[in-house]
Amino acid sequence: MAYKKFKSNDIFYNTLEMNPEYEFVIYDSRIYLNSRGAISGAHVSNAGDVPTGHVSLYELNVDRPAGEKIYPFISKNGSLSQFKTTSNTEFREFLYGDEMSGSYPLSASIVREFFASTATSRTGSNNHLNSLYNTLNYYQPLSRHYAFSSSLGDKGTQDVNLISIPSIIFGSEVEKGTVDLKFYVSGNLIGQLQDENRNGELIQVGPSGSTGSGSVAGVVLYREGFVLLTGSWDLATGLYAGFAGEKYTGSPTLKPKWIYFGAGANDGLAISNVVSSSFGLTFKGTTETQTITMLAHAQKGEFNHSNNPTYKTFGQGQQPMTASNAYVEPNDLTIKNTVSSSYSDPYADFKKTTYISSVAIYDENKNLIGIAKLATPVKKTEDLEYTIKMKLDI
Amino acid sequence: MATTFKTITANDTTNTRTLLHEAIPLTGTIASGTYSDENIKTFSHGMFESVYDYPYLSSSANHIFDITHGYSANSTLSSSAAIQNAKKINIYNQMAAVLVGHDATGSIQAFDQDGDIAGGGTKSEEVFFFNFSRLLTKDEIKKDSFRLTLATGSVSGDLKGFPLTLGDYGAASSYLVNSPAGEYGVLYTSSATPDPASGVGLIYYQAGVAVVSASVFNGTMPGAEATASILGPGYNSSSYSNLATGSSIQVLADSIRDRIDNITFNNTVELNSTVYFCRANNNEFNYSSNPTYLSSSQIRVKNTTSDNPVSYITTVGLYSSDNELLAVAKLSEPLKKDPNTELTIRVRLDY
Repeated sequence: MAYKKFKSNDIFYNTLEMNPEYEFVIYDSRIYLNSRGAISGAHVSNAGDVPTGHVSLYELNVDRPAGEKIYPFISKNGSLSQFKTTSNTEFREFLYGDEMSGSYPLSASIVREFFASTATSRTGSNNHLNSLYNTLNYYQPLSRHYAFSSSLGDKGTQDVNLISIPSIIFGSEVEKGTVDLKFYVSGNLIGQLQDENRNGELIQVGPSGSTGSGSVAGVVLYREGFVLLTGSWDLATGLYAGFAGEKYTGSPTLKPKWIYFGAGANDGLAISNVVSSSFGLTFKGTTETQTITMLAHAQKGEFNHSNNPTYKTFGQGQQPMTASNAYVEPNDLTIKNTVSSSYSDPYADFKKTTYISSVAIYDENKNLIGIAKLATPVKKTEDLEYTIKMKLDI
Repeated sequence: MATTFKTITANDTTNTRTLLHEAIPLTGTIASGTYSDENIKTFSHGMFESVYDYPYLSSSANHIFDITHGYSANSTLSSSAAIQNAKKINIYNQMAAVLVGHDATGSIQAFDQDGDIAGGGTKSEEVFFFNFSRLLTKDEIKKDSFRLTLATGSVSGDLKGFPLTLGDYGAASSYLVNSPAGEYGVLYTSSATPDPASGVGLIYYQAGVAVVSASVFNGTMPGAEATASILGPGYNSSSYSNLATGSSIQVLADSIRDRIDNITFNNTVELNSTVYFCRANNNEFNYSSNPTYLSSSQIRVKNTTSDNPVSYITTVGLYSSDNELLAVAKLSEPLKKDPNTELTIRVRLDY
């Protein structure tokens, strides 16, 4: 088959940006993602093998009991590759050739961490809040509320509610302005936060007339996937003033505040502590997919011959003649005439006809790097021309 | 950020390859029994059926393999009176064309019992195909890891009492390469000194296809389950040849699916890495263009004019020959660099 070179107008590069929406609901120390609960399996009670509210990497081991699960393993060799879960000490104990195994599924979900102003654990280099010091200050030009320490408050000493969203969920960044936090008590909305100005400030926008309405209760780090809440005003006011509160930190009973938003979201809080409050966290992620669009032109007079064995009339002797000083291929083979005729005899006039079934892509060194298949072969004659559009997602 | 570039030479790079494996157990109850065939997808064209690891209407389900059956036009079973005769031949030819290829005359070659196609020998003319999902086989099936246990007993006995385990025993060193679809091994019924003449199938490692000769059933094979019980009583008494000619491909696929006791194999993912050794000699990278490096036009980390310059390396940027930033490697913690120290930072790029 002849090669044909793509011209500059035949290749286009594009980036597809998609914004899938995610909805987390947190209730009684359980998390639900996109309203999906546990699916009961025939062998295990949770077929997905990950807790609700988690995403599963590879989504393997569906409804598999212990002992029948798919697991990864690697042999210790000179490349010294190992699983991240294998400690250096364990790795040294393995002999070369030994198999080191891991386990599936790997899962991820949102994690809430509450940093109380009185807690001693918030100091130290391993503190997740302190590690955001530079990142928060970096975004100060967007909003003063990002500042780690300012006249608006010192995140190093005040109560801070940190919600971490794994990047495997949101992709390259959380879409600006899409974060929406809802605080419910007994199913009634008592507080709602949105980034109205798309500058990262989480402003209380509802319910109408609620205490703290219009105030900034926290900030969002869109690229990094963190929500920091510092709003500490009582949300149980007005119609809900009678609500005594719940054990958002395990003990004692506390009034509902934004710093307690998401209590029970993988923060170690036992079930039955928060049974009246529920929380909704909605946002859109961002994924970018690079695509190459290629236009392959089969113009008049091109690609009208095939090397397919069936292109020639069946039953002809196609074996070359070989001798000690000669190799002669037959030069009188006839091409099968596939032109339809209304009569069995005489046949229709011969027309070179091919059927394009695939397009092969080669690099500049003529290495085959891709094949595009058509759903059905396309009939090509010398007086027809086609443009085949191919799209490759990277 | 450094303002100077340093060229990485051939001596500064090396390529490594790591093979990551996964152990894949597929118990027979997945193929038949557990989900009352709700995980079996059939098609109106009737040319194969798909097995999922969970009822396929659930979004949790993963496609794990397809089953189909075919025989050669040269098979004694081939007859215009046989049900789906053309389809069975077409499936055999299609699979053989892809996995075995064509001969010098352009004719499709048949599956060979011992893989020695040029040497002639016995051809497998009636075969079952197991096409495993790429999700499970990944880059390829690991050689000498494929085991398929089938119940092969006669209809009069306890079917579960006659399990036959097929495996590519010894294939790690004896695999074959004369296939257009990549490497393949011969399936044997015993690990004891595999004899090529005793092959009962072929396993194509990169294609993820197992070809099992119908000869494993020794001429007898029950039809599909008549009841929901697994391999219990309730079969009709068709021999394999009757079944192959008198039943559709779907019935044949159901029949062998019901007889799967166990399938296990290991897959392989090839991880290629390039390691760049980025060397910072004693007199290099001791300054920084970071705005925080200077205070009042003086180097912040120098106390006196006689002090050595000091920088802290936090990041390595890899640039193309056109000085386009291609990749950034971050250190877990900054490394102190001054004229008294030399550093070699090992940057590994996996792809």
